[in-house]
Amino acid sequence: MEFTAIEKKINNLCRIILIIIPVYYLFLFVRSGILDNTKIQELSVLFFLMVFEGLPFILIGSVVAAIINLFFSEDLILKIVSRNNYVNIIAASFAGMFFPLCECGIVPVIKKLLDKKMPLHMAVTIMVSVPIVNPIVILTTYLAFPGRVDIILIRLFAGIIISVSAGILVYYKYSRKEKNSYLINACISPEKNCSCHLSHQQKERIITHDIFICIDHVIKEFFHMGRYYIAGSFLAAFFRTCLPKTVIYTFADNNLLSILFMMILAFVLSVCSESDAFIARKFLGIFPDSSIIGFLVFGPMCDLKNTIMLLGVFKKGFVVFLISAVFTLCFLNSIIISMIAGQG
Amino acid sequence: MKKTVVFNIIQLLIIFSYLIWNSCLLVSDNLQLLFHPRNYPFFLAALFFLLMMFYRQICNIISGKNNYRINISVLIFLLPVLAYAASVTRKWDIQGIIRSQNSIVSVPVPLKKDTSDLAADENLVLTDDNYFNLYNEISGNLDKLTGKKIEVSGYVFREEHYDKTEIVIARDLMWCCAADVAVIGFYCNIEQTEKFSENSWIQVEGYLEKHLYHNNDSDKDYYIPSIKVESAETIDPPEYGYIYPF
Repeated sequence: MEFTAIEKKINNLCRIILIIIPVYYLFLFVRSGILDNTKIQELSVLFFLMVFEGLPFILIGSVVAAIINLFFSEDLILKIVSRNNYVNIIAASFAGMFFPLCECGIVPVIKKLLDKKMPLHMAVTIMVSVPIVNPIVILTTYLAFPGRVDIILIRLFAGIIISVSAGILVYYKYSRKEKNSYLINACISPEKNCSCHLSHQQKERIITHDIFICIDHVIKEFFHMGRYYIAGSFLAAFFRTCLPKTVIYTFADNNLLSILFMMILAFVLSVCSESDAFIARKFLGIFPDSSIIGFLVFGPMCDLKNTIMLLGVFKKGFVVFLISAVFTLCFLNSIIISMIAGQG
Repeated sequence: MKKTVVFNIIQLLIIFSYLIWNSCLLVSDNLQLLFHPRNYPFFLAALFFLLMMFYRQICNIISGKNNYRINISVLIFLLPVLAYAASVTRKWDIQGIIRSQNSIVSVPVPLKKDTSDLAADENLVLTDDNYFNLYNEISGNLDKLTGKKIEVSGYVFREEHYDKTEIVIARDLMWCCAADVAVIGFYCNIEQTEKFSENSWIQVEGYLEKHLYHNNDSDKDYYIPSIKVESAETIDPPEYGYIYPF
């Protein structure tokens, strides 16, 4: 539907009003001293801290994505990928051992790898495994749980098994589907075979302007992924501020509910995978070990911040499928552990 | 004015605000309050990338090209910068706010370890460097180490439901950045607590005990290490006072 000139002007006016109204109310809130409210202060501090914490890694992820875009041809990616899809998935689950990126930094990289024709199931396995099957997370889990080798090993192996299983599920459901059925802005036409949206004239100049083209990509990724990351951080900060402490312990005595609750808590709190082990540790002896494993395994794979970032790359249906699959696999993993440990 | 120019200028202003925000942190010495020193190289790399992006964006404005179309949602980038600006201009106690967020981790939780490398006659003297190791050692070997002499410093921390004489001699444990700081410490019952106001730093000497602690939030009881205080004195607070596990 085409807009007329008057409709466009009205549209622009509405946008300006949409900006002015919140700014006006923000001004009124500040004047009325709402910033002195403890909860508002907690929310603000937590929010900017979460953004500040992730910013370097989003930028580094964007730079890695830009380097992949410039120096990794589709042919090279196809050469790296084996013909056997199961071998690809298993190999992908160990990617984090060599590229220890966090759950936020990995999203721009995955987006670029998919643009370079990496198979979806392999990219998903990398995305799910890298934040948990990596040396830094193993080290922090060891430090947070000294003497509990069982927890460290279960976290590591569950990370590998669940990421491989998620990759296989995605392979069976999406391998025969078109790219545009799961990707936003999928590049399917040969003319637009580059996600950078730079013109071909500009592409011819890549050799002489490699660095500038690289920075242009970083700017694009920063503005594209950054807004999803900030929105996710705000929601996570909001839940962390508003969640009453006593609610956390409501389901501690029920094995099944405690697993479910701890996984939801890991999702909502969106704690960095480097530091979630110590948060889990405080629940030791209060919650069953199986629910602590649920927290430690599901949190790095899927959380609120990361989910909102995924919505900037994948279509809603795919994100819902992926999170449901990982959630179910993590839940089953915790149930099996509780049965083996005799907590069921 | 062309739409492309407006887009470019808005993008430039956002990159500039992030550049200023990060530069201010570097110059104002606040970086150590918010970030683990291990992650400084990543922070400096981010600052460098922002600088390059700023320069490139100016070039884009001069040449009149734009490679990414933005919409109103891009204003969300300004929110964290404004939140930081509010915290600085209104002089919020950022460390206090972080502590109150993390106060649910206030006392050691026992771990199944049962092996202590400490010699029988060795006293427990906790410093910044050995704090986390000894904290784990004590949590995992409470029965074996009960009765040992202990010397520890930290700030006075109280949960809402504590009696007047109950305090935790606490430290802030930083894994990655201030958003993930956890409060850890040793519980103790101490006379004349009015001498020690909340958040003031004290040095305590005493003997390690086993205390049946009631967690009000979970409504459960469990044994935790506590200190039978022999002497306590106020000390000067360190600049940041973080404990870094690695």
